Amino acid sequence: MAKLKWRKWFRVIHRDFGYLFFGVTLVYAISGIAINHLNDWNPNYVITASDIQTNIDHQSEKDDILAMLEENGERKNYKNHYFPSENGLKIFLKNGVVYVNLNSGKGLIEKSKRRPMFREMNYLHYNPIKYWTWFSDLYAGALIALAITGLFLVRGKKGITGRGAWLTVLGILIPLIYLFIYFY
Amino acid sequence: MLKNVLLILVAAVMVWSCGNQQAEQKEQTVEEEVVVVDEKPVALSLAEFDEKAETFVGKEIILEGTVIHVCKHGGQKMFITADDPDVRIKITTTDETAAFDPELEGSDIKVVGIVEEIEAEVVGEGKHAEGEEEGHEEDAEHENYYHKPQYSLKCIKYAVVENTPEEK
Repeated sequence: MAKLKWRKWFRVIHRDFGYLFFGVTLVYAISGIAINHLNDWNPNYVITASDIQTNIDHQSEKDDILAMLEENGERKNYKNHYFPSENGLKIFLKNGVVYVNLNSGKGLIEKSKRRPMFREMNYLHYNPIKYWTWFSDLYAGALIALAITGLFLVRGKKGITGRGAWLTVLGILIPLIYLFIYFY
Repeated sequence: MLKNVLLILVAAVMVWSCGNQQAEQKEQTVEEEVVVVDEKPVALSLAEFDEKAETFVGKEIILEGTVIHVCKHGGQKMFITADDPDVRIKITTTDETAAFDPELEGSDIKVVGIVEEIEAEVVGEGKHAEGEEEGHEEDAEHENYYHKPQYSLKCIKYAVVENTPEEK
């Protein structure tokens, strides 16, 4: 029986999975960074806000709202409006929203513009539909295979019996230390 | 020996990955059986939804309203309202419906979906939400709100209702 060349197969698996999952790795990695910093930015939209003073109050009707939007150059973008609270008005625009305080007339126009690429990648990251769940499960399995096969690609003192072992141990220790400090 | 162990490990990972897919497929088949209903969906107004939802749990209904909020993170849920802004119905996606687009906000939509009871979001029986101090007591108003059964709609499909500006 011919000797099974496991190292060769590990290299083949590592190489081909690496090629195959290159794209999706970038999707998860880039959107992962984007989503990690939700407190600092909106990864899906570029939001611009401007304060306005309006004459809108509790007695205002739709025509008044449209007139106010006209003054602010947003009449053509009007979609709908509603009163989320006794003193608040929310106007939906195409690519934006206007909030108005009915007591003071003060308002805020928020315009949003899609961030190309990020929006699509974040969409995939959030697991939008079951077919993507299947693919991402497969990808997760492939990542495990990539990690395991990656350990044994190099022989000698830079491999898993030398420097590789130290780096692997360090990589395992980092999450463990974090858990001991912040979790337990 | 080590070679064999490693090979078995890699094979196990691959089998596990495929096994997951099969399990999901099986689960989906069961779900589909539950979802199939013979009756024609009943159209309810948002105002009567709260009152009648209990009798429609697990059944298909149609709701129409204005989207006032779409979850910005995953788009897995949105809220619609109608004339009374205090009445807000939560619409959720299923495994087979794509995430809701945040740009739906402000649009009038017609949704076909299945009524389901929202699992209690309040932690009771000695459990406390993150950041909540031990011994925290819910006040009476809080209790009334959360102890009333809440219902949402699991969206099968939806369509934007096109209105002329004069109609709104």
